[in-house]
Amino acid sequence: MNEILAQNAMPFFFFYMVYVFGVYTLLNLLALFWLRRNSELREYLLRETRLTGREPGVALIVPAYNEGAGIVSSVRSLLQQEYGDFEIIVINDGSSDETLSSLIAEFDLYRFPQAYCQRFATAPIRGVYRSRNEHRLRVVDKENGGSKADAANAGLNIAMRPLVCFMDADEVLDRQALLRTVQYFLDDKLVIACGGVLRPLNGCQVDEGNLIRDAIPHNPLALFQTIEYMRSFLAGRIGWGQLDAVLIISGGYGIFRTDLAVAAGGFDKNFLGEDMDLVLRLHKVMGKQKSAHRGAYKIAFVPETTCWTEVPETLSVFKNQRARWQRGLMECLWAHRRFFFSLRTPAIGWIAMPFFLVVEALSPIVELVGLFIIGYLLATGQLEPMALLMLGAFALAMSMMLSTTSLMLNSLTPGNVVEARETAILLGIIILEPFIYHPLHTYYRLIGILQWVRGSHPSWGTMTRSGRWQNGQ
Amino acid sequence: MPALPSVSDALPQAGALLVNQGMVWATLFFLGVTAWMIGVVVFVKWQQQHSFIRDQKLIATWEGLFFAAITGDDMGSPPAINRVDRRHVLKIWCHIADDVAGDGLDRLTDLGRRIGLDRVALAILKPGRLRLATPSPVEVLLALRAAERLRIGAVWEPLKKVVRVGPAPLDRFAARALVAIDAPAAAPAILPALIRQGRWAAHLVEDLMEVGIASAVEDYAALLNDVNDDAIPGLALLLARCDNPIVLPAVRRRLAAEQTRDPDALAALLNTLSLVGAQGERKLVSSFTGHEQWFVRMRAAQAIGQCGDQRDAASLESLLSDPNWYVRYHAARAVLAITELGGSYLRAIAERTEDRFAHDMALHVLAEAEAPALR
Repeated sequence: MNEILAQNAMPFFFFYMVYVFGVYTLLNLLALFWLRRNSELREYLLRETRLTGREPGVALIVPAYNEGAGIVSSVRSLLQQEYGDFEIIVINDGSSDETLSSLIAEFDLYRFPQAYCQRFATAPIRGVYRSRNEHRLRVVDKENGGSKADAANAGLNIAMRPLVCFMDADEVLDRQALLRTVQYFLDDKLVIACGGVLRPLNGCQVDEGNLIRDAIPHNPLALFQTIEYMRSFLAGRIGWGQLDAVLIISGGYGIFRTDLAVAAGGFDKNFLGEDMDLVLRLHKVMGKQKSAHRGAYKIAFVPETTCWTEVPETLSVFKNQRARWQRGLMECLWAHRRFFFSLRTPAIGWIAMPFFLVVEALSPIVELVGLFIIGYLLATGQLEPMALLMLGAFALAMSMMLSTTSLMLNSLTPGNVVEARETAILLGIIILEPFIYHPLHTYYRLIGILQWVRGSHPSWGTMTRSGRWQNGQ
Repeated sequence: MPALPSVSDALPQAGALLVNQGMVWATLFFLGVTAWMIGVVVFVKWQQQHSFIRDQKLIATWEGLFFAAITGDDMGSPPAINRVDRRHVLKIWCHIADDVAGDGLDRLTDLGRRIGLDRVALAILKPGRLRLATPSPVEVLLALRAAERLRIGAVWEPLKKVVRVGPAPLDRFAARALVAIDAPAAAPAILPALIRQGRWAAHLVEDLMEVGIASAVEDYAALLNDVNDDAIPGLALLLARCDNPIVLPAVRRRLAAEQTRDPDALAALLNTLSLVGAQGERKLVSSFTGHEQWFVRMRAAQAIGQCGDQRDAASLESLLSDPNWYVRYHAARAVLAITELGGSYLRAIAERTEDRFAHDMALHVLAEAEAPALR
């Protein structure tokens, strides 16, 4: 047993790392090619676009649970979208604070006898409100359904526009976000869903729901997440998009064709990772259509669309969030295991799903087991310290180089200007990340895996907001 | 003579060697690729900066000339464009041309021809045999915009090809250029773009309206006789947007034709009829209220709102209990739109009906009607 361990441990970890870094490098390369070829074109197209009022309508679904402090400025911000036909559907999911009353007072809401489609069963709806001064606003007041998915489904029951956008109530959306994202649908009718970039709001300044200064956070934990978001959204999702293998459109910002979101069954209340689950079910629906020769489809990613969201600044909130995300990931991969090595959706089945399982889901376990084995082999003299040093150096160099590439790709994205001072800080963070952030993150993900193994029920995530970015602070 | 290692001893050593060497090579490989990527990003940033500086210099030279042309001021003979600056000047010209109309645009177009921008666009869209580099998508886009503005007939065939097989969104701009050059002759050529746009064809139609497709509406209406069902949704939408009663006989003929079976085509034709004028078509339109596809029933209900009368009360009331929300909604709106029926009839339905869906929808539409901002 000892011998087998000694002989195979290092090759295993080495090839595991080659696989991980190989895929990440490929994603970076694809993102680079895409950005180089398309960023100027996208900017030009945006300039060419004129709002005619005949753009496809978009229903923005904003689930809100105890968002009384910021819901009014969020809605005000959303109303300023530079887009022709859109409506905002706020779902008050049984909030116990002043979420509903503040909306009623601010927007002069009144009860409207809405005849809605009962596409999905949700917690009972108490009433639908419309505004006397903002015809684009609808507010659905419902009993608490225990999850964001239930609230989003209530929004889907009300949404009657051809496109539907899901987002969180505490986000700040780029004013041209809808325009830029819908452009992808218009340019290619095969596009059925689009995601955008999420960036940390911490450090930015927001006044009345409008971003007045885009800056990197001051909090170290938020800084680490800034790098992580760049890597994940810019390199990762553009790359997966190029491979036709997008598995996640963040629940923070994503636009879907309404008919297909409905056909896919909306959000599943039993999932924590309801956003990933919906995308996988879309693939399932479209995979079936493909087999009937009805044509291909695309799930696109829009790098120039930005949505700012507050990221955790304290370890306890960060731990809850990451453990929850990990549980969601494990649930989705397990529930959709039929995708593995499926011939109907080859890019998903043979590239994305195995990668998400081996790297995104199981890497905390691989790393933990690796630590024990290497420690044991070192202690028993079966491993040369030099070999370990080489493996560690390889891992460190690669992780830093990949993060640096993501940071540089960020500079190619239209409209993104990171000052030299901020770039220097982020480069420093990249050096520290493998020593501080990565072990912490891995530990919290392990907790998430344990929670999944034990079984847990989905609920609204509790995210304590600092809100320091509000009102120009 | 030293003893040779046994095979079982040698294997682990070979494995370790392989891993050690592999690690070195993999590190070198990944570092090489990553360093190359960083190099490319730096180069692209440098290129962007360089291009920006060149743009600024050229704007200083050319913007004044273009503005002088727009206002009709005497500007003497324009300077020749350096070969390396051609794309930049084309970009500046296109950007300015986008924001100008009327006589100013005519004079700017004239200047564009005099300085040879048509030849620049031609070289991009119809390169000779000695093509040195594939133009970037932005260059092609600029050339398409120039072809549209300068009405470059020489690129007709390349434009048709872009519409047929070109990538999105270049096909849309090529269709615009074709219509701008010769709207009647472009009729069959733009159909592939309309078909490809599918459910989002309204966007392309708006583009085509901007370049004056409405002037050739008769030619496009005539196409309805010959095209396959798959071309009808886009074409019907275009005809509806032109909003000219001249298209009605062709729409009516195609709607009644035996050959038209595709539900999308039927729905599109009914939509055109209701938007342009369904008066006198009550009988034809009513025949679709029982269609198996909800979107055909919905469009039929919409059209009845335009041409129906009290004889349609029963069929609209039954559509108010349709399983589909959109059909119920448009049926309620149709009741409201028919003068002989109207709000009082809709309210009466809401009071007497036992169907909850019909009741809710009647109240919904009545509430919308009472709040003008929501209509």
